Amino acid sequence: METARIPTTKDETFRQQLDELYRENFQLMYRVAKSVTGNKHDAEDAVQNVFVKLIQGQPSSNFQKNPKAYLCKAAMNEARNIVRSCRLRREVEADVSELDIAADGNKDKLRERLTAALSELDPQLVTMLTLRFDEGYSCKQIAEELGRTNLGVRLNLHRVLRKLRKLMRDPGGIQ
Amino acid sequence: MKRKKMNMHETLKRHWPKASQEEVEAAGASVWKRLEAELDKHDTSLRSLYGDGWSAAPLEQTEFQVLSAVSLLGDRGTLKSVTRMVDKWTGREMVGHVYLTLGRLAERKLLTVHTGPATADDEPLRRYEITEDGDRALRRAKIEGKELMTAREDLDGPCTEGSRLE
Repeated sequence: METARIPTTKDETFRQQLDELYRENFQLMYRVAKSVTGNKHDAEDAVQNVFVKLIQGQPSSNFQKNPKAYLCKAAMNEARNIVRSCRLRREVEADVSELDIAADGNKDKLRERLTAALSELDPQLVTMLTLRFDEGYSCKQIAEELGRTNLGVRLNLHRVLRKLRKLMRDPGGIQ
Repeated sequence: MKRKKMNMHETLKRHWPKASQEEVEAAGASVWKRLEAELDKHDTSLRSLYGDGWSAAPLEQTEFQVLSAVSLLGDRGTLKSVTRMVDKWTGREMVGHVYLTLGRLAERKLLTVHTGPATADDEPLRRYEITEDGDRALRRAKIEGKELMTAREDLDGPCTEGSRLE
């Protein structure tokens, strides 16, 4: 018969690692997810799903290489899935009205188009845009945060803004 | 009619779905609470997010048998008693393997060696005890499906390593 074990500090290794990972990455993951979902409830769900998957099973080898990049990408993908699911339409519409932006129909539409366009972009680029427009980072700061070169970030931002403009004008028109 | 070109910097500055610091903190606390509930549903005591996914050391088959014997014998684990137990599980004489494996496990801090007082005729008796890390390694091996009884062909490898307990 097995006797009950007394938990030791080493049994807490996983929890401690998860806690540390969460504290280091939640903010950026949430902001990236919110840029795609446009509302906080879905952004929370997206980030939660990422961590629940980490709890339920071992992440892929990409996680070991760069946990931050992996988590941001995963949060973005989860957010996309939520946005693409059936319930998203209802909730995004309801949430846009909660956002306390001017009751101007054009602005609402612009925000909706922006949210839709963001969900089409590469997760790494959305992370850059989030750092730029949500957190107000400079290109140099983004480069440091993501381990890229300053020039690379400038180039990526330039290209992604062009792509975003096109996507917002012609939704689904970019291959 | 030509469309007016969108100023993307301006558009994004104005319409980016921003989150205030308070909102992020509140969301962080709320999600973590839900994650704690999820954590309670799973046994993560041997898991790690990094490396091979375990926070316990891996064991080879002979190491598993030797460490199991040490664990079962408690404070009666000597080379003789451990070997006797391992011999039963393998169906062959294992004293060489056991001797070397005990040394390896001690080096890896999966067991500790206690040396008794020397007597006139014999060398001092060594007793082996499992450590917390050793216990965790055993639990991992059991989860991985290792079994104490082994088929004979598993043990055909040579016993050539130099002595480590000298």
